Amino acid sequence: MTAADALSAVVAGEDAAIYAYEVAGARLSGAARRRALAGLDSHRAHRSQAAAKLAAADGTVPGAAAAYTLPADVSTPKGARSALAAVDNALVATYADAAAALSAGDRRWAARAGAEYATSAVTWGADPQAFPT
Amino acid sequence: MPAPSELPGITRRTGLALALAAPIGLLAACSDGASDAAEPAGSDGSGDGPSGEQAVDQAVQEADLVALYDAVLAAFPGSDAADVLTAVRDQHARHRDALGGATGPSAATPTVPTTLRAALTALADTEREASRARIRACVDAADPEKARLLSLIAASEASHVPALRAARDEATA
Repeated sequence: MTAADALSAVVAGEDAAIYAYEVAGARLSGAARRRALAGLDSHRAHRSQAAAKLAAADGTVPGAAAAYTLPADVSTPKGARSALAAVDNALVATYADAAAALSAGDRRWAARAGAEYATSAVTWGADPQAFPT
Repeated sequence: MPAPSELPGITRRTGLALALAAPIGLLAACSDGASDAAEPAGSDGSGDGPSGEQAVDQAVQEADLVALYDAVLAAFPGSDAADVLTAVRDQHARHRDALGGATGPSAATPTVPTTLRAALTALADTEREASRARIRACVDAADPEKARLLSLIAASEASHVPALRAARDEATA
């Protein structure tokens, strides 16, 4: 996988996560709502960083879809948590691919993002995994 | 070169395992202040060892974590946290094997705090530091596939932190 391909996958994955956080976050309240808003900020920041790195690598930044299929029914708070855990865990593998394709500081950026989202997934209720997917 | 067991404090992991007996404040000061300086050669860039040596080093650190969890499980048999401790222990065993395996942990049986709550707090700190060490090794890895693996292990270890903290908050003592 080239660096541009890996970064393009990160942008696409972050767009899906941003959609999930916007939709599922609205179903949450209190501390969970605040955590969802903080997570939304984090995903937007990483999307922006990935797009900047991709543009710097002469890659074409993919646009976001109008809507995404969510990994769980988010009509209840439990379902919303489950959906957010799934989108965060899915990003861990995407960032690991990016860590393999990138080098030095960009690799550190990717590995840190993967660690952040694996942690977030467990905070949303997922079980820890040896190799998160 | 002497066998690791003959050298005091040969790895950072050994130090962390032994530091489990130390007060939490001490642990926090240790991991926040001296994390880079205390890292063994080979994973902080100063060693520039070949990736094979680095892989062995990371695998031994995972074996040390397995031994640490075994010690905590033995110290608190049948506790409410046994399920999460066993699950996390087994994940470190999978990390160790994916990194090429290790003949065994580098140190003698680690010291375990006297209360389960203290042990879980210290384990969460140790996992956070382990994740940081794996990210440093990921950045230094010469082989992209090794970087990918270390990134996943770093993520796994970071994700152990909230699981251990939740278990701690549920522990009565």
